[in-house]
Order: sequence, then structure tokens, then C-alpha cells
Amino acid sequence: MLLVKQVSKVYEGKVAYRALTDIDLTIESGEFVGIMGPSGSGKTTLLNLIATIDEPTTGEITINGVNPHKLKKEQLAKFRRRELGFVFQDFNLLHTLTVEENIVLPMTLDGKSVKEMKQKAHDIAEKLGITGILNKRTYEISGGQAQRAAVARAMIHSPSLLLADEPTGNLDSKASGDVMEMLDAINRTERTTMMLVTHDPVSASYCHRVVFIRDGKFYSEIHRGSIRQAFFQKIIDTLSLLGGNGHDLSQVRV
Amino acid sequence: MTFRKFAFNNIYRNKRLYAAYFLSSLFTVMVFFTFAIFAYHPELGEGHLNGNVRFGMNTAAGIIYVFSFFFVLYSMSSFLHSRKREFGLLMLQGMSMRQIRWMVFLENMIIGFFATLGGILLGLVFAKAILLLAENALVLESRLYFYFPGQAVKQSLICFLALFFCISVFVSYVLRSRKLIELIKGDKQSKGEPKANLLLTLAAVLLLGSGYAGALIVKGLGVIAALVPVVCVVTAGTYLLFTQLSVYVIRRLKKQESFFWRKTNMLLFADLSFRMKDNARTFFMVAMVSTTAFSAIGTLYGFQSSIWL
Repeated sequence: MLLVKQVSKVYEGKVAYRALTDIDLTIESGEFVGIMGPSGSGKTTLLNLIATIDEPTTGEITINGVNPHKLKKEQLAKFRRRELGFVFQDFNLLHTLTVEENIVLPMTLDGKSVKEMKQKAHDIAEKLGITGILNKRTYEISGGQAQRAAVARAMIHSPSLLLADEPTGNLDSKASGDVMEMLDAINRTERTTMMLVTHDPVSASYCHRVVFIRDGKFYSEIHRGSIRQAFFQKIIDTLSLLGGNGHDLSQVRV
Repeated sequence: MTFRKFAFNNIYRNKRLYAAYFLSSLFTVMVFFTFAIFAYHPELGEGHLNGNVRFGMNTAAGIIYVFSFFFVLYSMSSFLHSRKREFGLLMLQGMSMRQIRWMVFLENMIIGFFATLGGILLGLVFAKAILLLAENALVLESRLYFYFPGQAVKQSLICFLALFFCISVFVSYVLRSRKLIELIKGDKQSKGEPKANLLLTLAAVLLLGSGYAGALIVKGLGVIAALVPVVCVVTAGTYLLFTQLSVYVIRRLKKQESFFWRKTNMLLFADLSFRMKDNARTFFMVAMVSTTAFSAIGTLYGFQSSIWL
């Protein structure tokens, strides 16, 4: 479904910096993949390249057989609003809109009918348990609620790929657990393909597969068996191998 | 929520952000309108004016109009600049460039329309006060009585609606789609400390000094000959005053630690040096627009009285 082929990214500047080197990654339809690595390892860069926020220096990325970086601007806008969904660490909700309006935004831009949007917004709010805050503005709700609203916005148009950049980075462990459970449930029921960038081993343990990168290069990958607890232990072990122990990982995202 | 509703909500719930742009547009319209009230005042007009004076008046109106254009354009572009991140987010949600252009165009037309109306209304309300002020400031002998400036209203309305339309079209094309990552990270990039050039600072003092000195010394018909060079020198001087001299003075004050480290001075001046750089062009435009308007009125009256005497 997602195919990343020999992708490199070099940041130009006074001193050119190589953020990614020849990364290969394949994600199957319906898979839930986590990307982990120390700070500065290039995980957010990789996500930005796939999210069409940034462009790769060399290499090719295809989503469902389409290379979004080769699309014309109008086509790319359409591609973003139909095929992709985004969840960010700092939620990125628009503060001028209510929660409900934020959720339906991708459909608004696509020119769908108001009735259809209302219906979908209520269905998804029901599922995510945010029906009570639909008419609130973004500054009136808690972080956990904001992230759930952001997930709802990312999900409403049933994208083929959902990209999450540290979705639990700003949340406490309870809210993190809720959000991860929710993503897991969506992945199971809607069969949405998901890619998650995180440095939190607990969040990563919800994935089917975790890919580790270090210094912009592929390091290793581990698959989840049936037990999440065991998978969590394996992630911790790999992180220790990656460098020091798990606590060394900075909480600051790059 | 339809797209139109979305665009409306975006303005309506973000009034504060739009207020600055709205007010600066409104002010520009008001200055132009005030000038028009004078220019069409029956006391000064009605066939008393000879061709040269009429020509001078039209030139002044033209200059004010051109500066208004740049002023509105500049405040517009800085307003859009401050919203980079918002545009980035909207594009990430799948907003196409065409939709963003359309939204910006709509916003602009709405703001422009109300700014024009508001400026004219405000100008009308204060018309008598302004006329009185001008009487005293320009030391006129005859009284400028209040009249309903139908001609001035018509001219301002047409000129500014056209201006806002042009700018809306223009700006929405200027808004090229840069890379998404630049838009989203736009507000995190620092601009660096503003610097001033010593030579240009001295030039500012010299230009302004010689310009105004020249204007004061020249008498009689020499005024007409000196008009163009004086205007050029003063314009350049004013620009340098805001971009170089002000920054230079603030930098010197910041180096003076006995002054800079006292109480809130540090916060005030550290902030001010960045603000000055950001607002230099706006100040310049405002200074030019109002100076042109008032000197043109003064010149007009000068001509008028010399012809009558």
C-alpha cells in the first residue's frame, strides 16, 4: 500500500545535513506500523516526506500506486483531502472553529453536502465518545479531548493512510492510553492503514510492527506476537541496544 | 458547514486579528477623503483656480492614491504573512491553492468594502473638526464652512473600491504556494537582530535636514523650481529615518547598560528594536500620505492667496 524506495533527504544550508539515507519501507494495507528512534534520528522527517509536507531529495514514495510528489498542485490538494489523515503532537485544530466544524473540515473543503457531513460527524463522535463537546470551541476542551477530535478529523473522510506524529506526546498516560486504544480500534474495525511516529514504548506496543531507525538509517524491526506485554518488553530491549537505556531518549521531538 | 460558512466563521471569530488590517485601511481612506473634502471645498474651488493649481491638486491626489495603494498592499501582505501557519494547516487538510485564493479574495473584498464605507463616514463625522483644524494649522483667513462633500464622497468611493478590488486580485496571486514545510514552520524562524548602517543613518539626518531647510529658505517663484528636488530628498530622508535612524538610536541606547538595564527599559527597547524594523515601512507610508495631503493643501492655499493679491 505504502512503498518507500531508497529515500534520502538532505537539508541544504550553510552546512548540508543528511537526515535520511536510503530508507526502504513497505506497509501493507490495514497494517499498523510504528517508527521509533532516538531524537534526531529522522523519524519525523520520514513522516513529513510521506505526508507530502516535505519532498525527498532522492528516492520515491508511492501511496496506492500514486507518487504524490509528482502530482500537480490541485491534484495534490485533492489527494491530501481524500487519501490522507493527519494527527499531530500539538493537535493543530483551528481555534476559530468549533470541535464539530473542525471534524468536518476535510469534507467541507471537498464540497460535500451539509446533511452528509452532519451525519458522519455524529457517527464518528459517537464512536470516539466526544458527542458532548461537539459545540465547544477548541480552547474549552482538554488535551485528551482535543486529540480525540483531531483523530476524528483525520478519520471522517475514511482516508487510506492515517499518519500520526507523536499523538501522545502532549498527553498524560491515561489520555495516551485512551487515544492509542482508539487508534487500535479504528485500525481493527475500519481496516485503515496507520503509521505512527513515537518515542513512547507504551504507545508503540499497540502497533503490529515497529521499525527502528538511527542516524537516518534503517536499524532493525520487530513484530508483535499475540501478547502486548511481551512486545513492550521487546521494544524496551531494542531501545537499550540502540543506545543506553530507554530513559536516555529525550522527550523533545525533532 | 459549507465553504462559505467556514470563510465567514474564520473572520467573525477572529475579529481581533482582522481589526489591525481593517483599521489601517480605514485610516488610509479617511486621509484621502479628508484631502478630497478640502480639494472640493467651494471656498477654494468654483472656477477661482487656474489650470496650474488644478494640475497641482490632481498630482497631489495621484501621489496620495499611489501611496495608499502601497500602504494597503503592504499591510495586506504583512497580514497574510502572519497567517502562514494557518494556511499551511489548511493546505495539509486538503485545501487547494484555488480555494485559499478565493477565501483571501472574499475576505479582502469584505474588509475593503467596509473600510471604505467606514473611512468615508468617519471622515464626514469629523469633517467640520478637520476643516477647523486646517483653518488654524494653515493660518487661513477665510472660514472653511461645513458643506456636504458629494463630489469627495463619490471620488473616494470609486477610487478605493477600485483599489481594494485591484489589491484583492493582485494579492491572491502573490500568495504563491511555497513548500508546505516552510508554511508550517514559518512562525518558528527568527528574523535576526535588526541592524543599522552608520552611513545611511548619517544620510537620513542630512537628507531630512537639507530637505526641510531648503523648503524653508526658498521664497517666491523659487518654490516651484525647488518643489521636485525637495519632495524627493524628503521622501528618501523619511524612509531612512524610519528604517535606519530609529534602529540606530535604539541600538545605541541598548549598548548603554546604565540606561538599558534600568527597570523595564530592557524589555521595552529590546522589543522596540524588532517592532521598528517590522513597522518601518508602515510608518513611512503613513507619514508620506499625511504629509503629501497637508502640504498639498497648504500649497494650494498659498497659490490661491498669491493669485488673489
